[in-house]
Amino acid sequence: MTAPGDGGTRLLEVRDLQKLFPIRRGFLRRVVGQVRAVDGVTFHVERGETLALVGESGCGKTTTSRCVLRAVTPTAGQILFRTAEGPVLDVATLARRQLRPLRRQMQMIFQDPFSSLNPRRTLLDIVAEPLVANRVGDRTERIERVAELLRLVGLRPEYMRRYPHAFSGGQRQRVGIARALALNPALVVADEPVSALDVSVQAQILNLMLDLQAQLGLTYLFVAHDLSVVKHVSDRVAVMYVGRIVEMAETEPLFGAPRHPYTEALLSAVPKPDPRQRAQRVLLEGDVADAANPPAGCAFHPRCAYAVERCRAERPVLEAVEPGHFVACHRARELGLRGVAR
Amino acid sequence: MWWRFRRHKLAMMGTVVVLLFYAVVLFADFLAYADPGASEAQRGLLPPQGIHWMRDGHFAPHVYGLAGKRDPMTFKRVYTPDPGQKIPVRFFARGFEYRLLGVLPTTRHLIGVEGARPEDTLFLLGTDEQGRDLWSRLMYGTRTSLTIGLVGVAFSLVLGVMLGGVSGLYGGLADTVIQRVIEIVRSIPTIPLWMGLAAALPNDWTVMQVYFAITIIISLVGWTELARVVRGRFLALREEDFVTAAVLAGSSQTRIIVHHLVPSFLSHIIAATTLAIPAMIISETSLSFLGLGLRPPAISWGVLLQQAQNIQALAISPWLLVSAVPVIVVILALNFMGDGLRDAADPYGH
Amino acid sequence: MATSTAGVSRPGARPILEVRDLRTYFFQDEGTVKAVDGAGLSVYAGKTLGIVGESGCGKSVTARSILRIVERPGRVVSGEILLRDRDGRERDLARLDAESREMREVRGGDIALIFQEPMTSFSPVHTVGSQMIETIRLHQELDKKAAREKAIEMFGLVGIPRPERRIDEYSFQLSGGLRQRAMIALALSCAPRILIADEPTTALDVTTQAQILALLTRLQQREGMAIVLITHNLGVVAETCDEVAVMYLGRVVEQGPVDAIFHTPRHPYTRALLRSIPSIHAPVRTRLPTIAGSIPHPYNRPPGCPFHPRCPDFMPGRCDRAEPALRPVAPAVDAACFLYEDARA
Repeated sequence: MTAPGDGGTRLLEVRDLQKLFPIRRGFLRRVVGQVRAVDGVTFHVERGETLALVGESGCGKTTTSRCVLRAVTPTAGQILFRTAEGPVLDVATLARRQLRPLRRQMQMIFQDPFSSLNPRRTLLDIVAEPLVANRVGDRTERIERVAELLRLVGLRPEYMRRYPHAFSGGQRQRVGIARALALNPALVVADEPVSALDVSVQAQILNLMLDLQAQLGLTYLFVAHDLSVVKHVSDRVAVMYVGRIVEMAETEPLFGAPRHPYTEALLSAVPKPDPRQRAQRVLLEGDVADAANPPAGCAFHPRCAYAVERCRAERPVLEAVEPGHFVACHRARELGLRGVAR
Repeated sequence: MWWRFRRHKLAMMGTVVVLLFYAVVLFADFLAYADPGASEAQRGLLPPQGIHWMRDGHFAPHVYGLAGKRDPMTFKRVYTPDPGQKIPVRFFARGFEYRLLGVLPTTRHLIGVEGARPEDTLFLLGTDEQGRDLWSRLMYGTRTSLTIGLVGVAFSLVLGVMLGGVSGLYGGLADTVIQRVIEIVRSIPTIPLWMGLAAALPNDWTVMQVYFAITIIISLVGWTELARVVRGRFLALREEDFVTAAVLAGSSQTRIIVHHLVPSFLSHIIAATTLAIPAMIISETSLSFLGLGLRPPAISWGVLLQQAQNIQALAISPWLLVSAVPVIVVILALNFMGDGLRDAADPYGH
Repeated sequence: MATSTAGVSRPGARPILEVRDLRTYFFQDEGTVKAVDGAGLSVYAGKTLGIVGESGCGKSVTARSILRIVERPGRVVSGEILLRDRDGRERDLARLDAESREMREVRGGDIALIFQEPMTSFSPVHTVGSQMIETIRLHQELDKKAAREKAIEMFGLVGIPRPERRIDEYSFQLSGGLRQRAMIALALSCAPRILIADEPTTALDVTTQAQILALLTRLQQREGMAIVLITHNLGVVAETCDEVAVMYLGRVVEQGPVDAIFHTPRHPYTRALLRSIPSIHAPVRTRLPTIAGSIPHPYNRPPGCPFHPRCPDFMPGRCDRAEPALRPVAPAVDAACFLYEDARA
C-alpha cells in the first residue's frame, strides 16, 4: 500500500490526511479541544493535470496544501509523492534531512504578492534563493537562470536589480511564480494565487499559469475560493467543507451536474456577471460550521435543505457515484441538483 | 526609512544635539583648557567668570585677574576678581599637553590664557572645592558619561539580541524560561539592585576596573528591553510568507535568520538601542551620584554631582550643579532621536 | 479640461444625491495623487448605483469624499456634492466644513457608510449594542431603554438570530457574516436615505455574500433607501445594481443602466474589463482575453485619456492630447471616449 496505483501516472496521492490543532485554555494551557482543520482527506493528482481545492473559510484547503509541502506537519495520514528519481516517498513522515532534497520537486505560489517577497532583497536575490540554498550553479550561472526565469514569466531581466516595492501586485506575483519554478519542480501548489489581484490582472496571471503548465509539464494543486477562476484552470475539482472533501469530480460534470447540496449552493451563490440572469438562488441558512466543533454526522446537515435523520447521525463516506465522480452524501443517488449552464 | 526620519523635526534637532555632544567626547581635551586634575586649594569655590569680549571698542576677549586678599576673619587667602587686571584670552592658545584623538600630541586648546600666573586662569564655570576648573572637568566628565553609555548598550545589545532571538525563533520551553527570567529581572527595583552589586565591588579596584564592572552591571539589567523588542519582531516575521517561501526553498535556519529576519528588524534594533542609551547614562549618573559607581579621581557627570551633594553647594556655590544640565539635555535629545528612529522604522506599529 | 456632467438623466425623477466634477487630491511629499479627478454620479431614491473599478480608480475615495471623511493629506479640491432634501432643498456637501455639526448630522442621518472590514469598524472594547445605542441617541431623541429596544429591533431586521442576546456581545464574538449584518444595522439605525456600501462583501465567503446581498435588496425594498454599492466584483454589480458607473484612474468612464453596461458596453475599458473576467459559465480551461499593460502608478498618470496606453482603439494625436468628457452616447448611457465625439459632430 505504499505505491500509488496506475503505474506511475499519479504524481501525488493523499490518504486520510488529518491535521488537528489543539485549543489551549487557562494558565497552564491545558488542551480543551481540537480544531479539526483537515479531517480525513483523500485525493490524488495525476501528472500534468490541475486539481483545484475549493471551499470557503475554514474548510481546510490551505492547511491541506501546506501539509502536502510539509510546511505544516500533519497529525495523521499519508502524502505519497512520486519523486523524479522513481521511488515514492511519504512526505508526511519523512525525516527532516530527507525532506530538504525533496523540496526541490514541490514548490508553492503564495496568495499575497506583498508579503511573499522579502521587501529588502532584490528580485535577483529572491528568485535565486532556491538556487543558492541548494547550491546550484555558481554566481554567473545563477544570474543567467534568473534572467531566463524572469523572461519566462513575462518580466524583463533588467528588473532583477530592483526591489519589490517598485512593482505592481501582478508583477510581484510573476516574481513569486519565477521563484517557484527556479528548481524545475514537478508539483506546484498555488495558494489562492490571484485572489489579491485586480480583475484584469487575474486574467494575465491565469493565462501565464496555463501557458507554463503546457510548456513545462507542471502539475498544479490549485487552492481557491473563487469558482469562476477554478473553472478556467482546473481539470478536476475537490470541494471541501469543514476539513472534509464533500465532492470531487472533473470540472465540467461538477459544475454542470453537481451531486452534493453544498456544491449546488456554492455554485448558485456565485454572482453571475449578467444582469439578465438574476436567477433563483439557493440561500443557505446560518454560517459556515466551526471546525473546532463540527456538527455530528454530516458536517453540512444543519444548513442542508435535503437533510434527513440519517444525516444527523452518520458521517457520509466519499464514494464514487459515477466513474471519476465522488460524493460524500447519503442521498447522492436520489437528489436532482441544479448546476451551471454553459 | 531615513526619509521619514528626516521629517520628524524634533528628532532631527535631537540628533544634531547628540552629535554635538559626541563631538565633545572626541575633542574633550581640546575644549578643556585646564588640567582637570590640577587642584589649587586656594582657588577653591570660585564663582564662574565671564569672558569680557570688548575692550575700549576693540574685540579683545579678556578676563579679570584675581586679587588675593587675606580674609581677616579666617586668615585664608580669598581671591576675588580684580577689574584692574585684564588678562587676554586667546583662541587656540597653548595649555597643558594631551593627545588629540588619542594620537597627536599637542598643546593647543580652544581657548586659554597664555603666560598667566597659575591663579590667573580662566574659570568659565567656576571651580570646585579643590580649585579644579569646572568647565574642563565637565568636558572630561562628558567623555566618560557618554562612552560608558555606549559600552553598556553594546553589551546589552549582544545579550538582548541573542536571548530575544532564541526566544522568538524557537519558542517553546526556551521562550518560556527566558521570558520569566526577563520578568524577574525587570521586577527587581533597579536602584537597590545596583547598590547591592556596586557595593559588592572590591574597594581596591582601579578606576578602569570599576568602570568596566559598572558597565557590566548596568547592562545586565538593560538587556531585557532589547530582548523583548527582538522577540516581538521575530515572532511577527516568522509567520510572513517570504519566510515560509525560504523554508520551502530549502534554506537552512542560519540563512533564514541572517538573510531574511535580521535585515527586517535592524531598524527596530537601531531605534531600541538609541532609546537604551539614555537609560544607561542615567544609571551611571545615579550610581556615581550615590557614591557607588565611579569615584574620584574618575570624572563623570555623576561624580561631579556627587561633589555637590551638600547644602553649601546649593546655597553658596550653585555652579557646582551645572553638570545636571547636560544630563537633561542629552537624555532629552537621545529620546527624541530614538522616538524619531522608532517611528521611521515602524510607522504603523506592526 | 474635461468636466463630468451630472450623469444619466432620468425624466421625472431627480437624483437625491448628485456629484459633479468631483476632484479629491492627496498632497504628499512625493507628489500629488489625483485620486478622484473629475467624477460625476447620480443617485436616485430606491435604486442601487454600482461603482465599479479596479485598484486606484478612486471609488472608495469618492465615497469618503461624499461623506467628507477623506484622511489627510487628502482633500476635496473642487466639485459639487449636492444632497437634495425631501422638500427639494439642495445642499452642497463639498462646501461644508468637514468637522461641522451640519456635516455630522448628514453622516448617519442622511447618508450612512458600511465598510469592507467589519472587524475594524467596531470598537473591540465596547459591545456592539452599546455602539448602536450611542449612534441612535446621537441622531434621535430617545432615552436609553427606548434606544436599546430600537437596537434590538434593528438587529432582528438584519437577520441576526436572538438579537436580544447578541446585542451584548463584542464584535470578536460574532462571525464575519454576523458582524457585517451588525454593521448594516448600525448604518441603518437612523433611517438614512442613502446607504453607501464600500466593498461590503469582499471579505466574506461566497455563501455569506449571497445572504448579505439578499438582505440589502430586501432592506432597500422595505425602507425605500438608495444604495451606492462600491465593488470590484462585476458579478455582484450585475446581480444587485440598477445603474452602474465604471471608474478608471479617478474618472467615471462610463455610466448607465446595468443591462446596457453589461450587454452593450461602449467604453473600450468597460468592454475589455467585461471580457477579461473569469466566469463559471465559461468552457473548462480556457484562456481569458486580457487588457494589455497594467494600471499606471498614480504618480505617473498618462496625459490625455488615462486609458489610452492600454486601449485597443487608441487614436494617436487625439487620445493622448486631451481628456474626453463624459457625454451621453446613447439613451441613458454616458461615456468618456473620443470614439463617440466624432459621431456627434
